[in-house]
Order: sequence, then structure tokens, then C-alpha cells
Amino acid sequence: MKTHLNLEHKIKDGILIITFPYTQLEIGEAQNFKESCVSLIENNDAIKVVFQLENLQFIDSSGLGSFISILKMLRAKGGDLKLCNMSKAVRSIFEVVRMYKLFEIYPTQEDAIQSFQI
Amino acid sequence: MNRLYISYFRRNNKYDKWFLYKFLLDMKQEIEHLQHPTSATRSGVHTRVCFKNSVHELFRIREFLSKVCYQCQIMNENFISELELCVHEACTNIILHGYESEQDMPIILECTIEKDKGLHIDLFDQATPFAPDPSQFLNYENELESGRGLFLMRELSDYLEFRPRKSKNSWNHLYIFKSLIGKEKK
Repeated sequence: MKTHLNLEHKIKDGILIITFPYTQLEIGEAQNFKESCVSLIENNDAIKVVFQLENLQFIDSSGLGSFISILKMLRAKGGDLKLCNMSKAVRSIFEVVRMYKLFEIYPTQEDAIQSFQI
Repeated sequence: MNRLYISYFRRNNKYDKWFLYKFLLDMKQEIEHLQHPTSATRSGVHTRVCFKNSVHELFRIREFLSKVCYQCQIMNENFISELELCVHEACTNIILHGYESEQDMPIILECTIEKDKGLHIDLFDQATPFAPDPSQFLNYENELESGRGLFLMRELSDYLEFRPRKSKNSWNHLYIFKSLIGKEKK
């Protein structure tokens, strides 16, 4: 059994900010990442979440699936998942699969936090 | 096995239609098995490598592709990352949906670079042929958690063709072409 990832996180203005620590999110790790995030979200009773993705350089369809799964979970509770600091490579994958239509993507963490307060 | 057939012919010294048919069929399958699958002879820089059907190999596959591109002076990072993701998704399908629980099975990757034209990728495997569901190509804007792999493969390539294997000992062949034409160096 895999142990949950130790994800760097903080809470600011009631918003859970998770920093993705690795450069890749693919089939072997996507499920573990999803479970680690869900557990972190539940432990913090968070419904507003920001993923800080500055480290992420490669994501595959399984990684994208894990993002969607977390987004669905949060929206079902009346919350949301917003993304920020996305690299050019990851941004272009989001464009190919039109996932920028599902997610709100911000250039900086501050922009993402502010968007929750509007 | 062939020696058995030969001794049978010698012993009986007679024409047996059924036996001859069986012999030719077995020979054909054996030849297909012994022959290394290969793409048609294409001009360009040709590289070939064999990987095992494990998700841990996916990183090596991507690394191999980027190395080949750099060696051939393809510096367009967008092109390289799109190619890597396309082949990564194709190999993931072979590993997860083709070979499923089988272990230590081969995936042969051939890469031919035609300077200023594009890159040909030929993937060979001996998995149960995996027939993509065309409706899965459409899953992009909805909130489904899976089904994006095939869509990504199609979007990130210029040509895609799957030829399922015809017998147990032959190989499935997935051909991918990614054009370099019109893509400025970045």
C-alpha cells in the first residue's frame, strides 16, 4: 500500500493552498496524488482550494483525471479548485484538451486567492 | 517442430493436403514470430529500442524521444513535449489495456526522423489488440475523469493508424506521424 504524499500546504483566508512538489504527474502517481489531496482537503475541512503548479512540467491523461476528480468533489460541496503558476508546457496540454474551460487558471497565487473573494 | 514435419514427409512420402496446409500455416506464424517487426524502409535517421510493459518505463520512453530529437537537432520544445505526451499515452494504453496483467512483455519503439519533414513513430506490441472506441475521442470538454488519452493522441499527432495483429505470434502496429512542417524553431 502506498503512503500518502507529503504535500506542502498552507491555509490563507480560509483557502487551502497546495504546492505540487514534483515535476511530473503521470499514471503511476496520479491516484496517490488524488488520494493525498482528498485526505488533506478533508482534514482541513476545505472547500476552496488552490493548486500551485510551478514545479509541474509534465502531466498525462491520468494526472488530468485526478485534477478533474478533485474539482468535481469540491464543486459538489459548493467549493472550487483553482490553478495557478502553471508552466508553459502544462498550460499547452490544458489547451489541447480544452481543460482551461473547466478550470479557472491564474498567473499567480495572489490572483487565485483574490478570485475566491469576488 | 519443423523437423517433425520434415520427418513426417520423409516417412510417408506422400501428399497430404491438410498436413501441408497446417505446415504452411505454422511456418508462416513462426516466420512472423522470428522476424523482428519493423516499419517499412523509410529514409531518414532511424532508431529502434525495446521497452518492457511497465509504467516505470514511460519516463525512459519520453527521455529516449527527447534524446533522439536533440540528436537530430529538433529544438522545438513544443514539438518535443507534444510528441512525448502522444507516445506516452499510446504506450500507457498498450501497458494498461493491451497487456493488462501480463509481465515482462515487449514494446518496440522505432523512430525515423525525416529532416524538415517530420517524425515517424512505429510502436509494436504483442498484446491483445486494443480497439479504441471512436466516441472516446470526443471526451474533452466534459468532466469525465478518463478517456482523454486517445483524444490527446489524436490531437498531438498529424496521422495515426492502428493495425491489429493477425495471429497470436504476430505484432500489433501503431503508426504515428508528427509533422515538422510549418513549426518554427522555438
